[in-house]
Amino acid sequence: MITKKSQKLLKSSHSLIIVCKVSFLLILAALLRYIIMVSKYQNIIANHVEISTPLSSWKRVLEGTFLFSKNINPYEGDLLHETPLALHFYKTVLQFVFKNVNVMFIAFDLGTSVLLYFATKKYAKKFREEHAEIEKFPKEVRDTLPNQDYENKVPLYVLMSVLFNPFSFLGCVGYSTVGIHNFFMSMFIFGMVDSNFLISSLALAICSSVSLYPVILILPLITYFVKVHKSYLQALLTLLSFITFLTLITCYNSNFGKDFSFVRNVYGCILTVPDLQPNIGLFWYFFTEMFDHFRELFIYSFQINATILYLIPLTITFRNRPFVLTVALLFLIGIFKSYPCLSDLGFVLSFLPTFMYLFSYCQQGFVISVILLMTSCLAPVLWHLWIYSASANANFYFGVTLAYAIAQIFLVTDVLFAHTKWEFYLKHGKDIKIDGEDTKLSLE
Amino acid sequence: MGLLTDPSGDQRGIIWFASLASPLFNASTYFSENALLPGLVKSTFKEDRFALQYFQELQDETQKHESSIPYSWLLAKFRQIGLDSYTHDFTLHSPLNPNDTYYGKNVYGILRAPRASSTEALVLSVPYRPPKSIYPSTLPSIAIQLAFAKFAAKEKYWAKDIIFLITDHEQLGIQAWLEAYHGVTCGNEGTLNHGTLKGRAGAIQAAINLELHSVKIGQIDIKIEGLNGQLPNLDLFNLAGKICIKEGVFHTFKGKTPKYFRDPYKEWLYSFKNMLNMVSTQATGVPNGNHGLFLRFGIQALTLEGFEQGKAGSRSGFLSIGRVIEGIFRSINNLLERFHQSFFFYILPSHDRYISIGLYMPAVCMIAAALIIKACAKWCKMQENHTEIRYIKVVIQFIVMHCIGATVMVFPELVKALNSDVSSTVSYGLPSVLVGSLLIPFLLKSVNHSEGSLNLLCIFGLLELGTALICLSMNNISLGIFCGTISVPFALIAEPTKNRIFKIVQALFWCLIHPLSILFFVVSINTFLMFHQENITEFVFRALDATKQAVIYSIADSMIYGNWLYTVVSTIFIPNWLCFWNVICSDFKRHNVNVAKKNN
Amino acid sequence: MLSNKELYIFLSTSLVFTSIYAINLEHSFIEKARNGHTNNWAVLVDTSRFWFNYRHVANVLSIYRSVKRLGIPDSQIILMIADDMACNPRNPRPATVFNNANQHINVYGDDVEVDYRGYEVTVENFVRLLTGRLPPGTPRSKQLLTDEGSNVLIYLTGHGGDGFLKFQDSEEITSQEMADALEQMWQKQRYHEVFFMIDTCQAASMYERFYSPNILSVGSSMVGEDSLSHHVDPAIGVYIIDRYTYYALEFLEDVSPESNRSMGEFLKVCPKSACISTVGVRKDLFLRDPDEVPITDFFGSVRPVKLVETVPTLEHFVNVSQIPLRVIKTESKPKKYHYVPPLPIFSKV
Repeated sequence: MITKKSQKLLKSSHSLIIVCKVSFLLILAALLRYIIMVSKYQNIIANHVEISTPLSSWKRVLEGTFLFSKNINPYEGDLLHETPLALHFYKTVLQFVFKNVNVMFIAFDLGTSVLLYFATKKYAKKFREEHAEIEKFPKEVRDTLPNQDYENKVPLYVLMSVLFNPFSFLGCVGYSTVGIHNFFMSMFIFGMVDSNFLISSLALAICSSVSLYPVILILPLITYFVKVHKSYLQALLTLLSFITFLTLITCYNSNFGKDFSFVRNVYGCILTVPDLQPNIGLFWYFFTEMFDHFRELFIYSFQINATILYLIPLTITFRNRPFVLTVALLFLIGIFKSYPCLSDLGFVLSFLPTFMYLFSYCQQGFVISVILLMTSCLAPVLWHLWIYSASANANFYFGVTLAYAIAQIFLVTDVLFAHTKWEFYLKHGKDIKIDGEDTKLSLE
Repeated sequence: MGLLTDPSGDQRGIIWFASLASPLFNASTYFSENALLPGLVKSTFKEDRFALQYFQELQDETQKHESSIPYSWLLAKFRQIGLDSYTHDFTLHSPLNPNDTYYGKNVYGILRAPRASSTEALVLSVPYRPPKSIYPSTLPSIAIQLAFAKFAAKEKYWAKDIIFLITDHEQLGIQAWLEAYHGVTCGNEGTLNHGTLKGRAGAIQAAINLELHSVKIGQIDIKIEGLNGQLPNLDLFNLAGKICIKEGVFHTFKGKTPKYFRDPYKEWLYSFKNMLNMVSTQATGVPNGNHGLFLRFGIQALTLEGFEQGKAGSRSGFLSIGRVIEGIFRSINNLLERFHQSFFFYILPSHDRYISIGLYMPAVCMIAAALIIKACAKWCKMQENHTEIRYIKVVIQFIVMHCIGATVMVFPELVKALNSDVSSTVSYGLPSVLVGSLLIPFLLKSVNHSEGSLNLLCIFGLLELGTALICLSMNNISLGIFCGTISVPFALIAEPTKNRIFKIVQALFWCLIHPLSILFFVVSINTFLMFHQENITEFVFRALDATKQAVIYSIADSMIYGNWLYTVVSTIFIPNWLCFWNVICSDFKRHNVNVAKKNN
Repeated sequence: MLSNKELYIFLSTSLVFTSIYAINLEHSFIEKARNGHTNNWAVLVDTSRFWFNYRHVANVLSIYRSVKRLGIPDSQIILMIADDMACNPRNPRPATVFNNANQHINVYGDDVEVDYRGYEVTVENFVRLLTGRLPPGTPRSKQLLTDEGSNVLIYLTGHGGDGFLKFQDSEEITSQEMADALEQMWQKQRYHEVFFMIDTCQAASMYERFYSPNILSVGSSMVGEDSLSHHVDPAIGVYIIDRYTYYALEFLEDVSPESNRSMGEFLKVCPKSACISTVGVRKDLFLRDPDEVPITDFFGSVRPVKLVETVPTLEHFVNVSQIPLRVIKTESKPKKYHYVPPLPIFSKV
C-alpha cells in the first residue's frame, strides 16, 4: 500500500538524489577548473585571442585597477574597456568576498549554472504544463510533447552543459570577464522566468551597461511579461525600472556627471571597433581591408546587423514564445557582436537542452557539431602557424572563423525552423495531405 | 544514402593525392618575390685559391684536434678577415639520463654591413664534423665559408650583416645558438642550457647551411625539410636552383635529376617516387639538415649538400661554389622584408615543379570527409534504430582512453623526475603500458555494453581522427597523409559485430596499425635496406633494437627541440586507437527495440 | 631667333584653328593660344621606391638631364624622386645612378636638385603642386609657379595599372584625379600647353580621361600591356632603364637647343619592334599639329629676349681693363667615361 508518508518519503529521497547529483557535478566542475587554473596551461589559454579579447581580458582589468588606485584615469589610453562600475565590482568582490582570482571565476561560473538550473526548471515546468492536455493535440505529434521526463531532465542537462561545456570551461580558466557578464545574464533569465521584474531589469541593465548589445533583450523581456505572465503592469514596470537602473548605473559610472571619459573607451570601442586585434568575430578582417572613407558605412551596417536587423522580425514571429526569442537573440548577439569570445558561445549552447523536444526535427545537428569541433580545433593551430611559424596568414585564420560563425548561424536557423515546424505540426498535425500527396515543410 | 556507406571517399582522396605528381596537375615553379632579382648581377668571387689554402690548413689543424673544433685557428682566421668573432658555450643535460651532461662550443664571426644600420642579418652556417664522425666531412664547407667571408668583407654593397657560423654537435649546436640568439627555450626547461651570446646582429632574414663533402663537387643536393615538417619559402628554393644553373653547378632535389620521359605514365611514376621520398622525410618531423631548426623562428633556410660523385660528367670547384654562394647572398641581400610572397606549404615532385596547398589540401579533406560521412551515417542509423545509448558511460570511457594517452606523454618526464635511467625504463615500461591497455576491453567485459554506446564510441573515434588529421595536415602534410592513408581505411570498416571471424580479422588489422607496430615496420624496412645481408633472427633483433632507439630518440627530440611527433602520437593517436580497439573487441548485448521502449 | 620662329609658326597655324578640330573652344582660349608660350617648366616624377625599382629613378634623372641640357633651368624644374638609390646600401657604386650599362653616364652627379624627395612624394603633394594649392610658406623650389604662357612638360614613371599610378607602394592616383588636376590648372590659367609623358605599365589609361584643352599625351604602353625594362647592368645587378625612356633618350641626345626636330618625330620614337609594347598617343586635345611643333617647345626653354635699337658697348657696363682675357676652349670629342673605384680600403687584408 502506498501511503502518503511513503509518497512523501519517495519525493524527499528523489529530491535528495537530485541535490546530491547537482552538488557532485558542481564540485567536480570546480575541481576540474581549479586543476587547470593552477597548471602551466592557464597562461597559454588566457593569452589566446579566442578567449581574451580587448573587452574581456583580465589583464586589462588588473592594469585598470592599478591605475585607479594610483589616481590615474585608466580611460585615457586604449587600455581599459570595462565600465567603472564593473571595475569597482571586480575589485570589491575580489578583495572582500573571494580573495583569490581562481575562486572568484569558479564561483561565478558555478553561480551561472545554479541560476540557469533554477530558471530552466521553472521554465520547463511551465512549458510542460502548457502542453499538459495531450488530447488537444494530434495523435502523431504527441510523443514530441514535453513530458515529465523533459521536466526532470532539462534542468540537469542545462546544469551539466554550463559546467562541462568546453567553451565556457576554457573561458573560465582563461579569466575571461565575459564569464562574469554571463552570470548577470543568467540572473536576467532567472528573473524573466520567475516573473520578477526587479531582478530581471537590474540584471539586464548591468549587462547592457557593460556590453551594449543586450539592450535589445528588453523587447523579449517585455513580451515575456505580457504574453506569459500576462501582466501589462509588470511589463511597464519592467521597462521603467530598466530605464531607471540604466540611468543610475550611468550616473555612477560617470561619477555623477563629472567624468564621461569611459564612454569613448567602452561604448565607443564596442560601436566603432578601433582595435582590430584578430578574434573569432567577423569585424576585424573586414575592417583591416577597408578604405577609410567606407569605414563609417560599414560600421553602421555591421552594427545594425548585430542588433536591430533581426530583432523586429524575430519578435513578431516568436511573440508567443519569448524564451525561444531570447535564446535566438543571444545566439545572434554572440555571433555578430564586435568582439566575441568563446564564453559567449558556451553560454548560449547551454540553453540547447531546453529544446530537447525539437531534436527529432533538427536536421543539421550533426553537421553543425562537426563543424564547430573542427573549427575550434583548427583555430589555435592556424593561429600558431600564422603568428609564430609565419607560414600561414590572416586568410587562413579568418576562413576558420567564418566557418565557425556559419556553423552557429546554421544552428540558430535550424533550431528556429524546427520550432516553427513543431508548432505547425501541433496545430495542424503531421500527416497533412495537399491534393492527396504527402507534404513537407521547407524553409524558403 | 549509398554515399554514407561508401568508404571510397578515402580512396578518392588518396588517388587525388597520388595524381598530383603528374606534371599535368602540378605547376612549374616561379619567383614571386620581385625584390630578389635572382642571378642578375655578375659574380665577382675570385678567392678560390684562398679557399684551397684554408682547406689545406684546416686539414692540418683537424689532425691536431681529433674530436673538437680548432677554435683558436678559426677565431684567428675570422679576425684576420676583419670579422667580429665570438665563441658560444652551451650545455645539454641529457633528457635520458639526468646525470649525463654534454658541453659544446660554437664559433661565429659577424661581418657588419658597411653602410646599413645592422638591423637585419643573414647566416652562412656549417656543421663541424671531426675526423672520427660517422657523417661525411664538411671541411671544404668551412674553407669556402672563410673564403667567402674574405670576399664579402671587402665589398660595400651588403645591406645586412652576415654571420658566419660553425656549429658543434650537429643539430644541437645550431639549436643552442638559435635559442641563445632569440632568448627562448624551445624544448623542456632545463634540458638544453643555451648560454649567452656575447655578440649579436639584427633580425635574421635567411640562412644557408653548407655541407660540402669534397673540394670538387659533382652535384649539389638542396635539402628543405625542417623540424615538424616545416618547409622554407619556395622562393628561396627556386633561388638556390637558379643560381646553381647560372654558375653551371649541377643541382638536384632528393638526389634525383630531372628526367624527361615521353611516356606520361613513366613521368608520373618518376615524379610520384620523388614525392613519396619528400613525404617520407617530412613526415617524421626530423629535419634532414641544420637548416630545419631555423624555420620555426621565421628564418627561411635550406641546406646545400655537395657530393663528389655526380650524375653530370663534370665537377665544379671552389670558384663555382663560391659564386653560387655569392649569387644567393646577393639576391637575399636585395630583400626588403622577410620572405612572404611565395608558398610555405608545398610538395615538390621534382626540383622545378611544385604542388601547392590549394592542390593537396582537398586530398586530405576528402580523406577526413570520408571519416565524417561515416560518422554521420552511423549517427543517422542510430537515430533510426532508437537503440539505447548510455552517453555518460561512453564519455567516461573516452576520457579514460585519453588519460592513458596523457600518461604515456608524461611518462618520460615522470621517470626523469624519479631520477632513474630513462632509456631502459622507457624501453620496457612503455610497451608494457601499451600492451596492458590492449587488455582493457576484456577487463571491462563485466560492464554491460550496448551496441548503441559502442557505436557512439566509434563515432567519437571517427570524429577525433578526422579532426586530428586535418589539424595535423595543416602543420605537416606528409604526416597527415601518412597517418590518414594507414588508419582511415581500417577506421571506416570498424564496426561492433557479433561475428567472431570478422571480429578477429578486424582485431588483427588494428594490431597491425598500432603506432608501435607501424614504427616497427618502418624501422624494419630501413634496417632491411641497410643490412640486407643478415639472417632472420639477427635482423629481427636489430629491428627491435632500432625501434626502441627510435622511441627514445623521439622522446629526446621532443624534450630538446620541441618536436611534437611523440606528443601528438601519445595524446591523440594512441587514445584514438584504443577507442577503436574497444569498439572492436567489446562484447555487447543487442537489445530488442520493442522491449526497451521507455515508459513516459 | 627662337621667338620669331615661334611667332611665325603660330601665325601660320592660326588659320588651322577654325578647321576640323573636334573641340569647340571659347574665343578667349583661342586668343590666348594664339599668343604663344613665354616660358617652359618641367615636372618630373618618379613614384616608386625600393632597390628593385632603380630603373625608375634612372628614368627620371635621365629626362632631368636632357631637359636641363636643353635649357630649362633648375628653378623651373620640379624633380620628385621617391627613394634614394644613390645612397642605398645595396648600391655597389655608391653616390651614383647609371642609366646605361655600356656608357657609364652617372646621371646623379653633384648638380642634381631634387625638390621633393623620399616620403614627400605623395599623391596629395603632387596634386597640390599642379593645382598650386600649397600652404603658405612653401619654398619656391617646391612650387610650380606657372602662368598662362607656360609650356609644362609632365613626366611620370613608376608602376601603374588600368586607371591608376602607384605612389610609394601605398597609395594610388587615379586617372580621373589626374584629369581633374589638369582641368584645375587650365581653369586657373596655369599652363599654355602640356606635354604629358608617362612610362609605366598600362600607361595609356592615365591620359584617357583628360578633358582639358592643349594637352598632348604619350604613354609607353596601351591598356592591358606592360611596359618592359630595357636591360640589366650586371655590375650593379638591377634593371637599369625602361625601354620607352631609353629610346626617348636616344632621340633627345641628338637634340640641341637650336634643333628643329618636331614633336611628331618624338611621338614616333619607339616603334613596337623596339618597345615591345605599343606607344599610345593622344592628340585630340592638342590644337596644333605635333609634326609642326618643335621639340624645344616642351623640352627646351624660351629665353626671354629683349630687342634693343642700338648696339651697346661693353664700357657702358663694365671696366674692361680689369677683366682678364680668357681663352675659350674648343669643344672636345665626347669622352667615354669609365668607372673608377673609390680609394682602396687599407684596413682589410
